[in-house]
Amino acid sequence: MSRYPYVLAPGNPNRTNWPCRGVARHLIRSLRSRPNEATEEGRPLITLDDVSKRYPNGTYALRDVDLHIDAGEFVFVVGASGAGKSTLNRLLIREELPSSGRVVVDGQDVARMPRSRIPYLRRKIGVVFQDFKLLPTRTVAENVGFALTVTGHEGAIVREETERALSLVGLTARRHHFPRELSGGEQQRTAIARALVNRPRILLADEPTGNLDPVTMWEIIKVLVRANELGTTTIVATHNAEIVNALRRRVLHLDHGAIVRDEREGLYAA
Amino acid sequence: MSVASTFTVSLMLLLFAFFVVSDRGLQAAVSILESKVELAIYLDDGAKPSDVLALKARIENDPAVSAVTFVSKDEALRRLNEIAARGKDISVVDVSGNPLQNELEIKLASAQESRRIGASLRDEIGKGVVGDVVDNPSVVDKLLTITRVLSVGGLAILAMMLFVALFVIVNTIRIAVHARRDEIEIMKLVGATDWFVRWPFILEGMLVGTLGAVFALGAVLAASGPVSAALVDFLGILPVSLGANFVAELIAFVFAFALLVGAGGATISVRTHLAK
Repeated sequence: MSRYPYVLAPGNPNRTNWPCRGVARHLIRSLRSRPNEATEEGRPLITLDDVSKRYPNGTYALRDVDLHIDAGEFVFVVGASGAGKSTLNRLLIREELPSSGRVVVDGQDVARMPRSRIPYLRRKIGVVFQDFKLLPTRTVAENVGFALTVTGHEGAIVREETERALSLVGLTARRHHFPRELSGGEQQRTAIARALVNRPRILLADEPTGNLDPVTMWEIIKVLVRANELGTTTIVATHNAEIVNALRRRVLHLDHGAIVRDEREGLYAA
Repeated sequence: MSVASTFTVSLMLLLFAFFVVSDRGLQAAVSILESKVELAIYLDDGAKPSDVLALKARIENDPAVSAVTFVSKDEALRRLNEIAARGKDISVVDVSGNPLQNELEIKLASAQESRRIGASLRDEIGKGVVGDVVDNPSVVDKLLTITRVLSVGGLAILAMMLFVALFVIVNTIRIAVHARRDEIEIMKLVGATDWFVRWPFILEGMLVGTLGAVFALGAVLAASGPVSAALVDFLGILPVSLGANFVAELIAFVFAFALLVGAGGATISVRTHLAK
């Protein structure tokens, strides 16, 4: 297990544009949520150590998985349905516990983490789903700000950070619309803005383009790549060969719960 | 939905208030009756005054005894004549002599002891001082039995009502939780703490409890006047006094009970959703 010393230092200057106002406030938040940034270069942010997940009916969702993902990486997870992609995501946010092995996120063993710490783990990980999971009775801005409101941030910060996230995904003009008034791509960008609004270290996207047409699909991919360029470690589970082959990023191929291929600058199929 | 559960809760609290009031009333009745419980010793005509005084002193030393009074046979006859003068159906026909005896009236501090004291005094019959001992242990025993049955029964009913109220609140809040399950799911995904998710529902449970308490107390206080009047008419006495202190205590009891049940029920219903 890698141990990062707890160093108080400013965050990566490339990652965010500090507004002139409230720099100290942001700095404090940034230090709280990303204590290890100054020392993390080349050290794994996510480690799976011989992880298996076996369901009570005896089937294995993951089997003997060893995996390291460094801070700042962009990783595609590919494989057939039921290969274990979603299980991997659920283990990382501790919706499920591994049957054996260790899952370490940002230096913390998630299985041994007390229940009261789980919310703080999840604040480090933004999650995006195929079905968006937006609240239909709230506007775009309210959906995005929701992630900050429910984690106890005050109104001014919520408004400021929501605007930042909306401009990142190009939805500033749509901020007062309701989800039903948006296209599928806009809904997914709203969901991505919500996932990014509290500046997580990791972005998990589970089939983010599964419900979208090809043009819209590229909109989403551009936003995900942009988030990664700003420093967020991005993990995208997908079935879409076109995207994977165009981007040439790291590819993890899961088959029946096992990693059968792990390539830098990989393709969808070997 | 919420209206129905509020009324169920207020019905439960009404019963709770009724239990508190009747329990208080019974306690008052018991203490009044207990203070009325007396033993009487009829003294032998030939008993020496010094022996009588010694007996009186001995009885007074018993901690269960609150007072011992000597009633002479003349005093007893005067009382009898008084009663006869008031009651139309009693008349004293032969006033030439006094058939009554000197007696000691014993007031007890606690009714439970009457049987023991009565038995010890009966041992003295025929030794020249005590002629006869008159008590009424069956009344005392019955009273104590009734009190015990009522308090045990009341607690049992209260426990059942608590269960029913908890069940109602759990279900009400569960519906509220279910209606907001998507929101809760997203809250948990973005890292809201359990308490952040939980407290609005706990407040809602407490609100249902509070509304129920308001309705129940309103009903109790509105009914207390006519019911007291009816009881006075019916029984001739009212051992319960709805004094300001008691009303304050009742309100505090009912609200505390309502808030506890509301918060407890809500906690139970949210727990299943938070377990994920």
